[in-house]
Amino acid sequence: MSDEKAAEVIASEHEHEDHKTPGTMVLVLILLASFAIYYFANWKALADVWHVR
Amino acid sequence: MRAPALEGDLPVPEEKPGFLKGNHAGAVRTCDTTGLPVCLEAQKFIQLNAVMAVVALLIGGVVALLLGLTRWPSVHLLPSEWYYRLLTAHGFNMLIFWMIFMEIGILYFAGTTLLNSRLGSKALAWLSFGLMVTGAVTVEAMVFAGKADVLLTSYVPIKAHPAFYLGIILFAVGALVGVINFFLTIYIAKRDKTYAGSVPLVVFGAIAAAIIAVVTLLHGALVMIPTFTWSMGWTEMPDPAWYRLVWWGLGHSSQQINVAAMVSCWYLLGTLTVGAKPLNQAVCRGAFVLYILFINLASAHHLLVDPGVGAGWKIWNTSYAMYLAVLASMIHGFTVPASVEHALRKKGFNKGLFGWLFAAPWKNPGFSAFFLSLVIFGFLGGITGVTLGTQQINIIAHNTLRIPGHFHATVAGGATLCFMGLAYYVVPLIFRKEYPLKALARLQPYLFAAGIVTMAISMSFAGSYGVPRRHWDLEFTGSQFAVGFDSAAHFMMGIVGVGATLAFTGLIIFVLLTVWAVFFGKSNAGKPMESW
Repeated sequence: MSDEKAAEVIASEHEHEDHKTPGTMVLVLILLASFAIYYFANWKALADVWHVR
Repeated sequence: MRAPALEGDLPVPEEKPGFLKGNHAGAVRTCDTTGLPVCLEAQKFIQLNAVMAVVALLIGGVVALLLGLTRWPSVHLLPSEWYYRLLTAHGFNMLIFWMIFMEIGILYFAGTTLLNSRLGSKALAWLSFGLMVTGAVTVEAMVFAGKADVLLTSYVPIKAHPAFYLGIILFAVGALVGVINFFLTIYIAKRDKTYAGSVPLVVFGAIAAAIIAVVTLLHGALVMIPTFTWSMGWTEMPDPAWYRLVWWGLGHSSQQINVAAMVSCWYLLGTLTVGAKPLNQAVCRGAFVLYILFINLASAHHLLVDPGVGAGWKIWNTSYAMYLAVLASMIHGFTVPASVEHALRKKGFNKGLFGWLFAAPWKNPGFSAFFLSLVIFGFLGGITGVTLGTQQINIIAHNTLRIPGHFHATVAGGATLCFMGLAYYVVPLIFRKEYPLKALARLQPYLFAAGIVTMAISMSFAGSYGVPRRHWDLEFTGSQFAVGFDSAAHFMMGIVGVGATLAFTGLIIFVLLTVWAVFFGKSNAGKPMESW
């Protein structure tokens, strides 16, 4: 899959390259949304069993 | 920045980052696949540590199946004493021996191959390996002989045979010697100028893992030496609250070594499988520094219901410091897949948002294991970990099966799966043997991942119904009062058993294929490894 040998990739890893990664951005936004839903659901579950009056 | 050259100055050649002249004195070969220099002495110790790691994985895996079938209410396989005995064995083999043997191998690889250097000291490498093997065998013997039914935490005042504590100390000292050997290798590489520029990111990550390992192993010595002397009858019992506090500096921090090593392996596998490069060195390295500074404080979340420590201490550690370690994981959670996306887009896989993802080499078990590990660690392990580590929420989850649901996603679905992916390169490149039955090897990461995901999610649901962790009997047979769990909890425990069986199938396929490849596999010496 990788045409370049790993030694060449590692030797040139400090070179700056411009990049656009929109797919990864969408993936991490899905992750953040999943976290927000799970976190909220757990606070809701806590509130249901531990009433504050 | 260099000052601008004055007229008449001779041009000063730029020193490009990369490999310079090695210091191997002949004991080196160039890998036919990667073009990387492989120190032959280090290669031997990488092989030895990898073999011991797989042996521990096999023991821990067989035991895991028996435990899964015991917690499945309709099977309930083992008697109670064997449940706790094997739970102890499972913890040590999977969380300590499999991981640390692999990580010492990774440190030797990072220090020698990626820095083009010889191994720091052959004698230290032998000493490290000998102590680790002796310690591991001693612990196994004590646990399986029924003289240490104390679980991984071995909380005092529960007392095990002194040889059990001695075994842990020997293993920890051996690992510490291995880490010192890694630092010595880096010093020698720097002294002999075997590379130019900063160390590669994978080495930087390995250094982070090694620093965390030193902190972890010092905690281990601090807590295990007085526990050993107590078990011998030489000293008083350590204070239980002090023991719990310091023990988690060993117990949880050892998992943070895994995290740092796993993330380093993600970057390495990204390079090996699709030619990915880190997108931003400063950001990636900064995230590793955050691990070094803050990840050990996350150990505090194990004590969130402990009366021995105060609320302020708990809140500072788990609701402030821990989030800085979480931030580091979120940075890597972006930069690792982004580097893969960038590499694949550069190769022309530009169609839409996810064309690169569909075009990724999913048939390569090195890639599939790495990427599945990333997704499982982030989505299941990360999200549940941050939530359960919140002090207020922890009160509804502590000591329930939700906790193993979380850490099976991080340790098994994350680190173990990643190290399996690494093995699909270690065996062809370091042992120079080809895997047999490649179709089965391609399937293996998916089977293991599916089993772990099934198990982790059903554990979490069962825990939400209040099912306790580390408990032999869901029915609490013989208790003074009836304990009834919702039928949904019983159903979920059945799914836990199914998931455990599926994950074990994936694990045993990995072990059998790897052992077959190492001992009977076709040699690829002198030529590149076969394509997946």
